[in-house]
Amino acid sequence: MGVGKVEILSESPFCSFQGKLRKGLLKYGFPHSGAMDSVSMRGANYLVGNQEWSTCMELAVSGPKLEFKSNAVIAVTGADIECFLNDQSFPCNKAIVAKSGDQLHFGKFNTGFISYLAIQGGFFINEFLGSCSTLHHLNIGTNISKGLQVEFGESIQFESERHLPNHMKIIQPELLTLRTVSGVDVSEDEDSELYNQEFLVSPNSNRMGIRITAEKPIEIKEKEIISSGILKGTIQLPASGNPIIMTADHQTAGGYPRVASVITHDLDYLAQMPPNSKIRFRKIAVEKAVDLLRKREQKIGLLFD
Amino acid sequence: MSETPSIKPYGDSGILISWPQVIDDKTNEEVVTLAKQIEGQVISGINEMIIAYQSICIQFDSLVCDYNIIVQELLKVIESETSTTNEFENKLIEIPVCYDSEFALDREYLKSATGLPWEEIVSLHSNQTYSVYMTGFTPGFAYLGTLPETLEVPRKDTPRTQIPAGSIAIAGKQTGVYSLPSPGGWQIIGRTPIELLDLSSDSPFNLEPGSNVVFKEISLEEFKKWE
Repeated sequence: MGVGKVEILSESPFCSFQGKLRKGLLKYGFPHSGAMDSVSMRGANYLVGNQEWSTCMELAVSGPKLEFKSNAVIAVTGADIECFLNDQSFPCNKAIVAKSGDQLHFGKFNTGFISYLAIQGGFFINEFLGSCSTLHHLNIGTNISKGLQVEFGESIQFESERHLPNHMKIIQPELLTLRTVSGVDVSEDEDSELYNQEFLVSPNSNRMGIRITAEKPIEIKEKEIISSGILKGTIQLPASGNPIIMTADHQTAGGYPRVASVITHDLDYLAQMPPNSKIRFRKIAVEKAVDLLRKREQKIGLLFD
Repeated sequence: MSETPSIKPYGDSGILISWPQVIDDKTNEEVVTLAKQIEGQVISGINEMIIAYQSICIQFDSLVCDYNIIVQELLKVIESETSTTNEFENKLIEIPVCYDSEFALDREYLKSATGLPWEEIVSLHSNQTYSVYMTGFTPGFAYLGTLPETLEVPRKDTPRTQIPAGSIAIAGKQTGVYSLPSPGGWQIIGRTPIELLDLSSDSPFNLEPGSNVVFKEISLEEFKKWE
């Protein structure tokens, strides 16, 4: 049984291990967690021959330095981050071989905001309530701290020349249009201010939620609601008039009006927008949102058959 | 007579069942009763259900299930509800609470805001049965009601960034239990020595919507012995 090992050489407070979702516990206050950009994470797993939801390392702000204690096959996807193996640069979106003793480190993010490091066999991280995914603000999961040794699974034979399909590569347009469906706390004629202006992604965003700043703060009739359930993608509107989009580690209840929901399909795009990038919203029918998601998941699913 | 709740899509893989915007025992009982009936039916495709004061939020697998089909199943459950009485037995949970100033971080504020001596505040808080209206916001936070009017105080202007696990707090008509350390803006009245969220256990959550709770006053000595 060839179990490999890799050591973390530097602290990385904004990076985390993310894999399958922590499901079934929303009613107790646990969000699903998991990758902010699940498409890129699964792309990384595909490149190294893993299962779809094997645990990867999510890289944000800056990546850690690592040293391999065994041979490994790795791939980096998502944001176009500078990657170096023993100071030799290597490209994203392609599986490469690391030898025991090799050191891996990362430079700056060129395009996008979040990257994923997959290792063949997957990182072995202790599960908590059915998932390895980290929930930082509640100290749940394994922190990526200096000196940590992480095991990974057995290397397997696979076709090494896998290419990342174009539909799994990130996009980072000048202005991202996020598609939404109607909110549950506003009437149809009340949400126009959400759709007739551009917003800036606030630096004050995190895995719980992406805060966005409106050119003209949005006003609606209802300022507060009685606390009610919150799902991923929900756009909450606090009294400031600047919306918050609920992401992977979101709170599960809240009292701000839910003015719309970003469709599940587009949340992965949102994850790749750095602070100060521009977004806008466009409302579509729920049926269309479901159709987009089903088609995408079917395509991704085929890669892992 | 019970109000018929409204049902609408929430996002692309959610359903919101909601009652009128009120916080009261009767509405919450209807919410909890319906939630338990839905759970009992095991409707295929439903992954999650968040029970709140006057709403049930459902998350379903939109890859394999259609909104309309789940709603039809939900309507069957709602229509089959012949009586509004809660046929499910409510658990009664006793939570020991130490109201000593070591833990009652907002003791002085509470005394001045209510104009009551501390003993009376403690006695008002601990001499009644509360219902758990909802859990969530953060893991293991339980919203309980209803407080006697004389204990109603507003939330803090600026929330604390970290409240110790086990803290018992009050705000408005509610009292709340912080099972895990978390930020929070409620006024802290005491602390329980028991672990409300035992993450090492198979059923880690003691408090669920519909449970009944009584707070039993304990001394500082008793609290310390508990640990």
